Amino acid sequence: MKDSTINARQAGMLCVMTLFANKIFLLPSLMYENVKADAFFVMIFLFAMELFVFSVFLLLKSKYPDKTLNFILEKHLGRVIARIIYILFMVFFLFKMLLTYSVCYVYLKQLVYQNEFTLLALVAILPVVNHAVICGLRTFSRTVELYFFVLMAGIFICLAVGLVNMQGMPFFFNSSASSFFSTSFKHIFSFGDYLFLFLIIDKVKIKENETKTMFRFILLGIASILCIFFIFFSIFQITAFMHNNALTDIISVSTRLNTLGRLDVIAMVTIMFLCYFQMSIFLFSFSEAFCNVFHKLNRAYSVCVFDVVFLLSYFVLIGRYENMLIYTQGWLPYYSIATNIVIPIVLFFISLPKMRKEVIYEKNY
Amino acid sequence: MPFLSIEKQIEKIKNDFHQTSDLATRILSKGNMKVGFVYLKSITSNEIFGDLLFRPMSTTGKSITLQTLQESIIKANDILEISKTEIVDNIIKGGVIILLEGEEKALSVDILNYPTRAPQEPPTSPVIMGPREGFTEDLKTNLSLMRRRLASKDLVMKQLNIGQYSGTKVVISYVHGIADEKIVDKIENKLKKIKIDGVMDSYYLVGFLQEHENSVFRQVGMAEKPDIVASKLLEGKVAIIVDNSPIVLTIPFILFEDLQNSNDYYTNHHYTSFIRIIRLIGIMMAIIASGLYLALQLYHYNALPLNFLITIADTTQGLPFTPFLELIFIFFLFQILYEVSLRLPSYLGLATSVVGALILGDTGVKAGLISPPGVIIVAVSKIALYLIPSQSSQVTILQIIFIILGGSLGMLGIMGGLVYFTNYLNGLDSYGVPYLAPYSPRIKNDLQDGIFKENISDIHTRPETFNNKNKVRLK
Amino acid sequence: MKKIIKRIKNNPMLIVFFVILLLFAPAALFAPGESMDRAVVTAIGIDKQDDEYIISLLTFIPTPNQTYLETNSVVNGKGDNMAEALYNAELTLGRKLGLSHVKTAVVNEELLKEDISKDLSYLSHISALSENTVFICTNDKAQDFLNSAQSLEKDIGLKLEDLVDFNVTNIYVTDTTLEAFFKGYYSNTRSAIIGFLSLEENCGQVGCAQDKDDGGESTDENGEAEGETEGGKDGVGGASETGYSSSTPSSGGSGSSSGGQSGGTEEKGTGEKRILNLGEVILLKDGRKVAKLSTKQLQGINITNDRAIGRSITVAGVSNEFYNDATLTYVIRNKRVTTKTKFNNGIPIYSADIVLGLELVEGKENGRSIKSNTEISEIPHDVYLKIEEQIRQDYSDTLRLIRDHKTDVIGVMEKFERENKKNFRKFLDSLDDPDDYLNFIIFELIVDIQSD
Repeated sequence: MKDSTINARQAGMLCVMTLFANKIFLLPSLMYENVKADAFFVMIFLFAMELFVFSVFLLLKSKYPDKTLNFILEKHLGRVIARIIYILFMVFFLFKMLLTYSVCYVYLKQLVYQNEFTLLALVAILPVVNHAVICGLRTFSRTVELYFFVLMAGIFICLAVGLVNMQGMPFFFNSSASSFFSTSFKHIFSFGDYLFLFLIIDKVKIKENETKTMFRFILLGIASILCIFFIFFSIFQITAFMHNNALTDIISVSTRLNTLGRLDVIAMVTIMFLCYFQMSIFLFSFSEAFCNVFHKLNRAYSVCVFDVVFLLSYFVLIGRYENMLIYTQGWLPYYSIATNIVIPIVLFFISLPKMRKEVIYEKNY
Repeated sequence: MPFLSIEKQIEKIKNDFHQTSDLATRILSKGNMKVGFVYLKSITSNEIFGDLLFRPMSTTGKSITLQTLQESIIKANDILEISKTEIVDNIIKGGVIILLEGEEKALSVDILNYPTRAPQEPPTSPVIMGPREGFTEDLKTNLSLMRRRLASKDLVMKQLNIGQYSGTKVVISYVHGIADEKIVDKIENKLKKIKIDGVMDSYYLVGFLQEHENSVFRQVGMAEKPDIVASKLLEGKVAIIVDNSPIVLTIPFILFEDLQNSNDYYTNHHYTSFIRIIRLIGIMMAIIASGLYLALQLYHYNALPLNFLITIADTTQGLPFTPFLELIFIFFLFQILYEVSLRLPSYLGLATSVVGALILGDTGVKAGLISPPGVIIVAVSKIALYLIPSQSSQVTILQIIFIILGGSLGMLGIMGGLVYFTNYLNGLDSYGVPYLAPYSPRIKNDLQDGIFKENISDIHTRPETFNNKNKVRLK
Repeated sequence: MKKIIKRIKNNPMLIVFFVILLLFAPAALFAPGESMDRAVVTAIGIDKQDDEYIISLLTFIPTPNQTYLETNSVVNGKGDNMAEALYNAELTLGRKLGLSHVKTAVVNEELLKEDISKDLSYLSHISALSENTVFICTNDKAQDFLNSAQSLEKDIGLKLEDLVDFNVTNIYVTDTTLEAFFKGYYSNTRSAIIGFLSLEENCGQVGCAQDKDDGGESTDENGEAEGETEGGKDGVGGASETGYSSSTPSSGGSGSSSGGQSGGTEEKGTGEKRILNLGEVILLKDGRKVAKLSTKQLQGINITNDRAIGRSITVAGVSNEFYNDATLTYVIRNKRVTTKTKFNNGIPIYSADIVLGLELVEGKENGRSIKSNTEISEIPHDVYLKIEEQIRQDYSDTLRLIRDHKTDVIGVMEKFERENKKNFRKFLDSLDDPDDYLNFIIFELIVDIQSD
């Protein structure tokens, strides 16, 4: 079997890639409708939860450096609960993928293709994503590594252009605490991306001091999204709700620079790559969870199953993109409570005992 | 086995060679002693034969025995005492077989001499300033060129013969103490397993040496110049020098090697960095420019700046072809012209390019068959292809794929194609070396000779990408 | 066959590639380019006639061997609503509309009698159309305006968006885009400013433009040195009408832009009407027009806008130790504005501290032009006072204007909301008509003038 481990740097890059997509087109304007520019703080709050997930991952990793999540779960919670958690993950990542795909599709439809192109999009996206997953985590992470700085440069160009057009600070502290928390809850499904780290916990090799590297990447990702939010709100302020494609709109609002040509192409290309990578990570996570539920089936099998389920749910369950938005703000937040909060907390407790033992150990000697 | 007379022995050898006409035989009678000579006159030198063997023997006063021949009579260097079973082999290798009546053994004297060309500057990797010698088809010359550059006892040459009929000499060369022995053994085993009738060029072996045989992407390095191969050996790679081929193979190979050029090492490193960026942009342009243009024309008029859109729309309006057909038409036209100019003698090649340029650049456009932007885009991507001549065949295939992707799926198809091919290339670990190193995965140490090249005095270590043993190259 | 199956097994992506080849490539192979399928629209004009929308589109339809300008044309579509009108325009054209390259949207002033936002919201929902599209208003039919814009480009190569861009940078100092409109419209003050270009009957005489120049006296003050302005007029005259050979057709390009600034603009060609740029803007409240502002009024509004520099200030009758009954013209080279809000006994106070850097560009003494004296580095005190007086006058005019129209376009409310939110809310609650808050705010102005 191919060696499929990745290093901390690659894991950090995957963490950055998994953050984007939905958050850089639709989310800013959706959140603005609820809490105005305070969406920025909602993001900080939700990112704090992501950081909690990440720290649980690190704790767990330090306790079980080479063990799979399956091993950890079975050891502490028993086989049945382990399976249930995996199934939860499977559904979670399936819907994550559906959301990303829908948002990406709508974005491309509106700005890039300007036509319906359902079949074309499926043919262009699914095989590539499937192939990435079948190639394995290491190969795929290397690809991310190759494009990483190019994509970040794309995002920073958009931000730099946005910076030129900034019109003062956004209006902060306008919303009540209740609307703050209700918005956080409403959009919680758009988060929880770092859960994939648990699924690949055995494949990430973190050497000494490399936690820092990973952490730096994570901060880079979070910071760039917060920057996008900040600049977006600062540019559009009151009209932020009208702009559904944050990253592209930031760049296309610049009258001056656009006379050069269509700079928004930079945003389009960046977004296409980001979507490919994010979807690959989600599909990989699905496939990882699938292989742990059905031990006898291999990755290719899981990808085939995913494709069938994905297509069925996309055409039958969702049908229209708006439905997906209704789901993400309807029942999916409740579901996300289980995956984004309960599971990390459970894993947190699993990672704890060792620390207690260590304390006793030190006291004895 | 009974002793045969010289005549009979010669007759037997002639039969072994199926009475081939270039097999020369001669019998010298010296007293009651008969000496037989057998050799292939097509690959040996008559003069050397006369000067070093025949004349000394016919004029000597000594008695002719195997011992006297070896010790004093024959003036040549390479004298081997061989058994009768080895006679045929030695004749093929360019030896003169000396048979003495009543002797069980024979002598083989190497007087191999066939036409060779002097080392010249190879056409595809010329340098502005730097060594101009290139490999020739003669193995011996090539080996001497290598030895001249690496005058070290650690330079090892292992010779094999491959090819049932061709019996081609293949030399595996590496620097002991730097190259990974495991890779050397692996290559040797792979080569030994080859049961082919003939090896006409080193490229015959590429297919056997690649770990992913059917891949579009070549996983073996090719070099035409001894300085390049020598520097690669110093990086811990293994060279495979094949007789009759001026191209030397090097293993392991990473894609980035093709972005490097020998000229890079004989010029200012700042300039090198700049030119490598140009190469990278050029090669990306070569791969996706045509596909992207097609995608923009077919699906994304909105992504084009207005002025560019106007130019394209005005010039493509009223053409008999659709954009896809037009591009494919121009593409094939270019490819045909390229093939033609490659095959034709140089004076005719010039004529073809003039005709081609006229037909394509002017008449085609004026006749309203093709559009100027289409010609420009295809021309640019075709020219950019030769920024890295050694990758031109792969890139041409990619061009076609990306034209189909861009034409059928638009920009998303092109981006998808890029992700797919990058994934694919990342999966091509050959001989344990990641194909896209040092960028994917990033190998920090090797970035010093990456797109941004550092000064030679700052590069202290050998590339980590290759599993070399001795890491320090500059103390 | 076995070999093929083996290959596909090794690389399933081959199947996908074949699917692409079979499914999409044949269709794509014979598909015309999108640019042939679509009519590329570069400007939209909206008119309303008898409750029916008329949408005019300045489209470019590619034609071989013809230039872009030759293939530009204005196409109409009528309908009860915007969507229908656009659809009808599409039918007329026989092509799909390509709205990605729309640079300008023009509305007839008549439409501004009612809330324009509901008409524009349709446009803003078209994702292809950028919110960055320039949004301006004209006094005549938008359709005629587009025709004139087309002639403008044909005759002197001046594009409409460049003309507006010039205005935005030098006169309006605020964006006049759909985005800017919505920003104002959805803000608490519900006020917005949009650019105005008038469309005039072409009287066919040079004097026509001159008359306008004189009429729009306010515009003279704006912009750069007069010499340049005049040069601009010449250039415009030369470029505007080929028949007027007496005009010097020098400085065609620069002439057109400085002409735009001076007021008596270019335009014209074969059509009967021409675009006249007087540097005016329309003041909107709740999407309705409340006033048309001259350049002078606009400059007043922009007093507290530190991006608004380049304006000239003329002081007449200066007599002191340096000058004797001189007329001096200064240009604002830089400006630093600090605005503060505070509450004094529940009364909101809005204070603006303006530091102006002025440069003397022209001086006339006894009818003779004087050179600017480099030795007089300081602005004489009496001149200082006169300039200050002028600025104060402008400011109070502006305040009267915005108070009368209840249009807070200088961002008073926003400033209070940011700095004194609670107090300001309280203050608003205490008012009978919260919309009339400007009348109850005390405005302070501190002017500091420096020689640049």
